[in-house]
Order: sequence, then C-alpha cells, then structure tokens
Amino acid sequence: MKKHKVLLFFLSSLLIFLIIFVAALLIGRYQISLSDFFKAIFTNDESVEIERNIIVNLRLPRTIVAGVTGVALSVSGLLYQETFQNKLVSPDLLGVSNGAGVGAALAIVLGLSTAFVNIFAFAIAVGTVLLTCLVAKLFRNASSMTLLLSGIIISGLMGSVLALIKYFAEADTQLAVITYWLMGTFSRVDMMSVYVLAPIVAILIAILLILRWRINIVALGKEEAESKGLNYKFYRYLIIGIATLLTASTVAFCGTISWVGLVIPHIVRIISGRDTRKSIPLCITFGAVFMVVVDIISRSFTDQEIPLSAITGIFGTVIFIIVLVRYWRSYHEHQG
Amino acid sequence: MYLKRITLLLFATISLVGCNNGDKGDKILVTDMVGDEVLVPKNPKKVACVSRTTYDLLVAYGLGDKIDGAYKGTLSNKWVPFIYPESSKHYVYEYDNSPEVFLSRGVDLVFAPEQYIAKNLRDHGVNAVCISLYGNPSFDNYVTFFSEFVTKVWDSEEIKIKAKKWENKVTDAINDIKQRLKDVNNNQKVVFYVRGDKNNGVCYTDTIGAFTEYAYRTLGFDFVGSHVDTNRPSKETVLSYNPDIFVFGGIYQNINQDLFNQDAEFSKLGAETYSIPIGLTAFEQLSAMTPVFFYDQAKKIYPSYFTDININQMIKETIAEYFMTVISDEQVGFMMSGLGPNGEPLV
Amino acid sequence: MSIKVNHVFFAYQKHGPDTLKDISLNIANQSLNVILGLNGSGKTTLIKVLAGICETKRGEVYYGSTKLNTLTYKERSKIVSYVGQYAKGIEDVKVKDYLAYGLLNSFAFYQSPKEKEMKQVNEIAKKLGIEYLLDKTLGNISGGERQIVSIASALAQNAKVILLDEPTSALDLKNQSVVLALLKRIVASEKRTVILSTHNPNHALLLNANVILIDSGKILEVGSAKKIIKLDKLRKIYGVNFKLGKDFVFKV
Repeated sequence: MKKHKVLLFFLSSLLIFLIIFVAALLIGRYQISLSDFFKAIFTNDESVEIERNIIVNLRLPRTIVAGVTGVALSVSGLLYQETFQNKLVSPDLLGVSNGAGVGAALAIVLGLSTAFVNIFAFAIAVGTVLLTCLVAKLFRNASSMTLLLSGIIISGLMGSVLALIKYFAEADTQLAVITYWLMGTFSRVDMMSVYVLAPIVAILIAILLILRWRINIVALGKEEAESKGLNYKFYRYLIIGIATLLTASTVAFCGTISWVGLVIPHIVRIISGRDTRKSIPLCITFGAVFMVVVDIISRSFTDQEIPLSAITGIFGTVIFIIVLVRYWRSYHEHQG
Repeated sequence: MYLKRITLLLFATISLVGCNNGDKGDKILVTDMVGDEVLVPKNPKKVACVSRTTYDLLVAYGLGDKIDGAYKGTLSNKWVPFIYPESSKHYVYEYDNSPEVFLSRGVDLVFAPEQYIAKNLRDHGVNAVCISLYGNPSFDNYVTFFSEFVTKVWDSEEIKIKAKKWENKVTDAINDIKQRLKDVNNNQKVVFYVRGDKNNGVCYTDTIGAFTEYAYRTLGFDFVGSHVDTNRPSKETVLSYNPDIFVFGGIYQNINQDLFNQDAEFSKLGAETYSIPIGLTAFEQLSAMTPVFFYDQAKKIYPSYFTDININQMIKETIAEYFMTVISDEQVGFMMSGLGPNGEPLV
Repeated sequence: MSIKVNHVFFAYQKHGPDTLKDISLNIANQSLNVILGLNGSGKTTLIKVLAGICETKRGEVYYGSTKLNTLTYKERSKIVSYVGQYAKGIEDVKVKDYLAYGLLNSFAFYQSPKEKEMKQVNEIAKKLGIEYLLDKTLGNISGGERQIVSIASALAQNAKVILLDEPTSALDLKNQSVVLALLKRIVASEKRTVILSTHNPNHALLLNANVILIDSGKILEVGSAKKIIKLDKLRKIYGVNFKLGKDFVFKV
C-alpha cells in the first residue's frame, strides 16, 4: 500500500478531476438540470439552446483553461522551489507577475482590446524575466542567490512602474479594470484562448515529464549537479524558461493568480516526498482540480465574479493548514 | 480516462456546429455608442439597464415595462422608489455581471456602460451594446444617440413619438436659452462643475466627453473641465482658472458646498455658487429631466432673463408626465436642495 | 588512470593574487592521496581544480591522456567524482534516492532509475554498510552517516577518481576514523584513486597515504606519509610545538 501511495493519489486525483470537470459544466449561476445537460450535449434539440450555449461557450472553455492554469502554476511553482533550493519561493520571484501586470495595465490605459492586453501582459512578463537574468549576469557569478536578488530588484522596479501607470489610469473606469485584472479572472476566456493556451502548456509539460527525474539533480545546486555529470547551467535556464513560459502564458489570459504556485507544491510534497519524478505528476492533477474548484466558486455564488486571487488566498491557506495539521505527525514519521 | 474527456469535447464541438446563432425573432444591425456594429434582437422584451444613463430615459420613452433591472447605483437612490414605484420590481445588477446572470433571467438586450463589458457579454452569447456615459471626442453628437437608438430597435409608433418629443424638448430648451442669453454670451463666465456622485471632494469634475461639459459649453459658459486633462485636477489648477461660478451636483453636493465655504482659498475667489437639483437621477446626467436642467442652471446664473420660467412647476409637470407621480412643492424644494424625499440627507 | 597536473596557476579573481602557483603533480592510478596544508594554503582550491570545478588560469590537468577542460560534464563525471560541501535544502531527500542520483551519468536524458538501478544502489549501500539508512532522509541521519552517504553517491557514479574536500572536518573522532577506514578500503577493494584534503597530519599517517604538502599555494613536498610528516617540518609550517605521542597521535 505504502509503496504505491503516490500512484494511488495520482489516479484518484485524476478521477476527481474528471468528476469536477463535468460538475463545472453543470454548476453555475444559470441552473441546468441533468436531463437538459445531456440533451444539450448529445442532441441538437433547440429547446436547450441557451443551455448548450452556456455549456459550450461559457463553461467549457473556462473549465479547460482553469485546469490548464492550475497545472501550469503548480508545476512552475514546484520548479522554482527546486531550482532555488527554497520552499518559500513562488513563480512571482523573477518578476513574471509584476511584469505581466505592467503589460496589462499599459494596454488597458492605452485603451487597447482584450487581445492586446493579453499580448502585452505576456510580452512584458517574459521581458521582465529576461531582464532579471541579464541583471544577474552583470554579477560575475549568476548563482541562484544572485538571480533571486535580481528578481527582487526587477520585480520591485516593475511594481513601481505599475504604480505609475495606475496613476495615469482613469480612476473611474480603467483603474477598476486594472485592479480586477491583477486579481485574476477566467471571465475573459473563450475557445480561442483554449486553442492557444492548451497546446503551449501541453508541450511544456510533456518536455518536463520526460526530464522530471533530472530536476532532482538540479535541486542539488551547481557544484554537486555538475560533479554528477549534469550540465547545470543549461538545465537551470531550461527549467526557469519553462516555468516562466508556463506562468506567463497563463497570466496573459487570466491575470495574476497568486498563491497556487506556492501552496500546491507543499501539499503535494507531503504525499509524494521530494522526488520530482513523483511530485510533478501530482502537481499536475492536484493543481488542475484545485483551480477548477476555485473557478466554480468564483462564478457561481455572486452576480459579479469573485476575483481568483481572493479565493486562492483564503481557500488555499485553509486547506494548507488543515492538511499540514493532519499530516504533521505522519510527515514526521515519514522522516524516519 | 482521457477518452471520456475527448468524447465530451468532440460532442461539444459537433453541437457547436449544429447550434445556429440566428434564433427566433428578427434581428437588426446597429452601431452602438462606441462604434461597434452589433446584431441585436428587434423589440426586446427584457432589457438590463446597467448603463446608468439608460434607465430613466427608457421610462421616459414609454419602455418602462421592458426593463428587467438596473445598476445598483441607479436603484439605490432614495428618490427612485418614491418617483417610480415600478422600480421595486427591477433586479439589482452589479457593474460587470457574469453572462450567466443575464441568460438565467432571459434578458434580451443589455445596455452596458463600457465597451469591454459589452464585448465580453457578446463573446459569451449575450446581446449587449455599449451606451457609454462619455462621447468621443465630446458629447456634442451624442445627445440624441440613445433616443434614436431606441427608435431603431423598437418598432412601436408610440415610442417613436415619445422619443421625438423628448428630443424636441431638449433642443427647444437649448435654443430658447441661447436666444435669451445672446447678448450676454460675449462676456463668458467661467464655470467649475463639482461632480458629487462620489465623495471625492470639491476638485472632482467632468472633462471633455461628458454631457456636462457639452451642456455648459453649449449654454455659453467657459467650462473649466474643457481645459483640464484629468477629472481630478489639483486645487492649484482649479484656482488658476479663477472660476466665476461653482455648480454643485450629485448626492454629495451639500457636503461639498460645506467644504467649499469653509475653504479659505476658495472663499477668496468670491465666486457664485449654485446647486443642481437631484431627483430620480442627478439633473446634470442625461435624463428625462434634461430640459429642466438647462433652464434651472440658466435661470440660477442669469435670473433676470428667465423671470417667466417657473422651475418648480417644470419639475412637477415633467415628473407627472413621465413617471405618473405627483410630487408636492415641499418635495420639489428638497430636490432643489439636494435632499431626499423626506428632506433627509442623501448620504 | 593517472592524473597529471602541469604547471597550474589559479586565481579566484581575474586580476587578483594567485591562490595556486605553478603546481605540478603526478598522481598514480589506484592510489590514496592526502593533500595536507593549513587553512588557506590552497588545498581546497587544488581539489576543486582537480575536479574541474575551478578552471585554471595557466597550465593543464590531465586524466590519463585527456585534458580535463575538454570534457563535457557527463564525460567528466565518468572519470572523476567530487565530494564537497553538503548541498542545501535537501534534508527531505531519501538516502536511496540520493544514491541513485549518482547514476545520472549512465542515463540518457529521458531515462531515470528503475528497479535494476535501485538494485545497484542496494549493492553499494551493502558494500558500505549503510543499508539501514536507505529509507531515511538526509536530514535524519548523523553527520558521519551523511558523509558516508555522500561517498556512496560518489561511488555510484562509477568514476575512477574520487575527490573529497575535508571530508572529516565536521566529524567527531569516532566518525573520522570510520570514514578514513572506508576511504582506505575503497582504494583497495573498489580499485579507485582517492584524493582528500585535510589539515590534520594524523589523517595522513592513519591512512598511510601519499602526502602532497602544500603551503601558500605552492607544493612543498610530495612523498609517503612516513617520509614527509616529520616533526620539524610540521612545527615550521603549523607554527605549533608538536610532540609525537603513541599511536601516531600528535599532541601539542
């Protein structure tokens, strides 16, 4: 039983994901009965036209994007924590989130369409991380500590730029839009977003799954990893690159969602232990389930959607405390 | 396990193909206030007035029974249940509602306050147009936009007549006032509008694009808001224009007037101060009361040219005509003083 | 595989002082070697240069006939393994997983340890007598055990040469002797070349190793422990009044 513990958790969380996925299509502000649900999907019956529209145009793309986002953020959080040998690190570290915020705010203040908001957010998010790496290179050794420090500096810089842009925003209209964007939402998502985001994330995750055992060794740090035969520099930048792309592409469509990248890896590690061979697949399923549940909550109880970061923050903290308390004993027994 | 998901997706895509957008009822291609071309249903039976300027105008044009709900800011005004009791039936909407809310209420058409909200609703299967509170570049060509829009979308002759009647009242008022003041307009007075819909103090105004900017400029005043690039200019900026007149509107008008009177620098200007009445909506918002608004402000600033105009009477008549409600002189007095229907403060 | 160091110079900063000055060495195959010197003598740097971690300013390091700096990380790891400071933040890694990391150089990028490899890990653990540690995590074992685990991981790399930077500095007397005995065994039974750095002359004597005496970045002398470790030399280098006690233990 203990030997296959991780496999069991993986399969059950996968199953839970499928159930939650279907539930997400059923649940929402607009009540849909089970029979109407099946009618809408499997027939062309015109009487359930509205239901079909809601399921296919509204809930399906959102739920897919939510799942994909959960996967991307959880895995990227885990990657950052392993690479920087620090469990309190999140994908925001190198400036992705603040950079994306600057991009989106800029596009909003300039009055550009949603598509441009997404593009600007993505471009400046990636640009910010590149800038961080560049600044780190200015120091002779681009060690993890140096990257971390550069990240704090550049992230802080972007935060200031964001504040400046907010100053220029129209307080009555644009500022509210920027604020909501910064807190994250799936409401602007449609099938086009799915067609762009899902393949990107799928490819990146596939690469990661192939390499997932090696990430353990990257987590050993430069000296030890190189001595064991790993091209540390290459792998570190590859991992940071993948993690950044995962975060930036989801942020481009959904705004900044905090907390997921920090908490889900912790929860996963309690079950899987440190081995990235096991923790990465679990991050995938746990992250997907978590985010779909968060999306259901954000859109089902109120007329105006609750921002995602508000939910991930509260929800995530509570789950984290419960899990930690319950498994504290077993965690310590585990240690041996 | 992945098979199930793929199957669901496949069916979803197939259904998409089978589902056609042109459903029962006619549709008409219209251009909304921000220039987007939208296909909307003709003669909609349920509309959502999320854009605050649409609510009382729809009632004025005879379409009150088609209203499903309005923005919470509109409906929370204390005068609303008194002047227009029908409002109790109306649903209270948020600013940016999820599409499912409208779909679950069977709303045919949403009047959204901003382009991105309208667009998001349209992307998710809800008919929506943007009826903005601001014109681009100014409000000059937009005064009759909504009334014309309404006549395009609804076929009824009665509605066309009522809408036209409102338009005429507005134009007649403007022309009459301009005529009366034609000798005065050489000596342009500088007016600063204190917008009081939020508690943002005295230096909160409207700029180019807003209806008030158009209104005061058209009446022949030099509107400070026409020259500044932000609706929250600094106090120095306001003082630098040396306004002759300060007008106070919105629910915070009395609070702002107090602030103004207690302020040393503002007092030094020796400017005249006038209030703008507030009823179902603040009078300076494009609404059923717009003709009265013009006369009210003109008379306050140049009383000698409008001795024959009885504002109180105008207010009573307009409210009776559009909302079928009789209000007392005392209550008209409350409106003129920015108070609630029982004389209580509005905030 | 013999190691040749050819007139190597090394400095940590490009225009700074040389930490290693004109080092030339010949290290025999399957030998046990101790680099002996004070703190700051350059012994850690020399180990790192031999490991390829530090790139020389001038001069080359040869493993057999191959220049060290022409090798890829993977190729290098098959020839030489390095046991240095403990990696941070891996207290929750299981010992058996950590040992398996040593097998990296036998995998392609898409491969990872399976049952066969874990059996290998068990074998190595058995050889070193640390089977009982396999399911524990690195944070839950003693300092001495951790050191042996590090050595085991280096062994798993299957490199001919094992370099250790002050492997006993944080250990008590008992564990020191356990680790040193282990190193001696490895040279003999596993047929590896072992080079370790230390500042304690007792270690060199205990191991009866080849000694490379280093001071201020220069090699003073190379030879067997018995020959090199003489009271007068040590007194001069260490500046301490040594006495030769029983069982090769130097007393102050």
